Amino acid sequence: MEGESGKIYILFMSSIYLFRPEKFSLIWLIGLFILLPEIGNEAMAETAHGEARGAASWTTDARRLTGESDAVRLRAISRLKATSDLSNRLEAAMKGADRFLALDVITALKIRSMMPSLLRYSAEENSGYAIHALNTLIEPSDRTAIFQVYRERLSNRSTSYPNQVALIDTFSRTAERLDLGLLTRLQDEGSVEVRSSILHYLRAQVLNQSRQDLVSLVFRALSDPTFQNRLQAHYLIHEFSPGLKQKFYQEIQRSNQACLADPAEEVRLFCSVSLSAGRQE
Amino acid sequence: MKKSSIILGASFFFTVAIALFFSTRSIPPAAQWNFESEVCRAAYSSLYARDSIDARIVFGYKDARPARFVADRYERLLFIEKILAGCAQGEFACGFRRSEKDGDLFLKSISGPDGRHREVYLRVIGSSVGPDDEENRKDPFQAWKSRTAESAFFQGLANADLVFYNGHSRAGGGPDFSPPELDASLGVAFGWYKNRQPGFSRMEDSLKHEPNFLKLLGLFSCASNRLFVKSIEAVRPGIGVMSSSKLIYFSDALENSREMLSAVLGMKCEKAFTNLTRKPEMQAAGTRISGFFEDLKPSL
Repeated sequence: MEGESGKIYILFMSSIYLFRPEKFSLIWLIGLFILLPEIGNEAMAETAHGEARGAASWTTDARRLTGESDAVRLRAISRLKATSDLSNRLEAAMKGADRFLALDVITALKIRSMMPSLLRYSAEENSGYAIHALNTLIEPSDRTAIFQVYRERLSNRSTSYPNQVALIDTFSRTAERLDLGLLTRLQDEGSVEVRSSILHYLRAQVLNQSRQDLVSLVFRALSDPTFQNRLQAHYLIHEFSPGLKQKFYQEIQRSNQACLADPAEEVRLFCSVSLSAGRQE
Repeated sequence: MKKSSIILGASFFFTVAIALFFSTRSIPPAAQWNFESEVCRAAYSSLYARDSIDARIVFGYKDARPARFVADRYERLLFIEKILAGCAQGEFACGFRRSEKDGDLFLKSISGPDGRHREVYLRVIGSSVGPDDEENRKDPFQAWKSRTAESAFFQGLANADLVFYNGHSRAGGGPDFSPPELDASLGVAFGWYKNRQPGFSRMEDSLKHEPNFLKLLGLFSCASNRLFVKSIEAVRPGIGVMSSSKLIYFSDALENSREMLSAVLGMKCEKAFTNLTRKPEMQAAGTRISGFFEDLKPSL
């Protein structure tokens, strides 16, 4: 028996059996007649409560996936796994105010079955967070197909700036290749943050993957209208290997001159310090 | 035609042209702000005392250790998208224009509490150079990003009118704008932060600086109310502080900071702030405001 009424009933009947066994059968029958409807109602309420618990508590548990201790986080994951109809709840939540929580749950529980939904959703969702969630689910078997979709999205001019940043960062982290033509267009047409992300990608590709075909984009970034991006490009040039500096000696000399005459004090300061430190050849 | 007539005519048309140019600039008409109370009016008269309002939103280094993912660039970008968007009815953290030369600077003309024009210089600054903590630590540009964000925040505690921090509390050792100190298991070394309190002690020192123009400080980080507010109020009594009494989820921190900025730019009074703190994302974070409206109870 479940529910509070049932427990009280059992306790009562146990006492009757111990102290007045001759009355046990009659009282047992009367008690059951009175309590059965109550037990039935409690069972229905428990089910409804369970449903409500599923609806409200998944967001409570989702909030416990970040910022909490490992023990709290693991308990939250365990409760989420036990939540009824979770995938449908998450699918519905992705369209509303709890979308970030839903994406965190998908990531934490590694719900790969939701990848098709996520792939569709990430095309319309503009924050870039659906792409981050999708990335956590990618396995070697889906990598080629997913990255082809990502390349197509970057080629699509209607892709939001936050999505562009998320996509370029994905290519940075995974060392996947983007071609010079696409990067040039993104550098020409992208927002401040897109152009900064491209510089971050160029750093990974030029320094770690030896892609010398992309070096021209680094020098192009020296003409960026914002001083932060120009400075980021100068920092990257100063990280070039000796071989690369040798190969692009003329361009680097010109970039030094431009740097020392830059309208932004931060840029001029960086170059005067690094040149007097003798890091520049 | 006499030369003097030509000059006079040209001057007249030149004057008309100048007048037309300035009249079509987007300077808002003098708004009639309706303040519910003298306390409210006084709070905004103080906040908007200067002709140029120095406001700073600084995103701390938002690592997710022990994972390598760093998220403040994305959060900052979401915030920027909102402030650049057109203004819906009742919204004020919107309609900003972006500086062409400074990627962190956003501007908006508003009408002050006295009806006079004010220019809001809003800096929105992030701390990380990329999305991967391991790679960021190898990038020399990361040090510049961290220094710039630190400088914007700590100098802002003395020089700015309004400063908001959206980042990690580091168990009371924050705010923090750099890749975190790690323990042996590559998690955040919370013990180190509790002992050294690098961000917190610098925050206290900056608040003691004189002269000091800061009227409103927002700390949108986990349990910032318990960790920081008492000390802040001891060092700088009367300063307005917005804080969170609970752990705060990133999208709640983002939305709360944007809504608070909107309320301040829209010169909302106590009742509006009370209603604001009843919103679900505010309740989830346990958002508190103290000190901004002098007569208000310690927290809404």
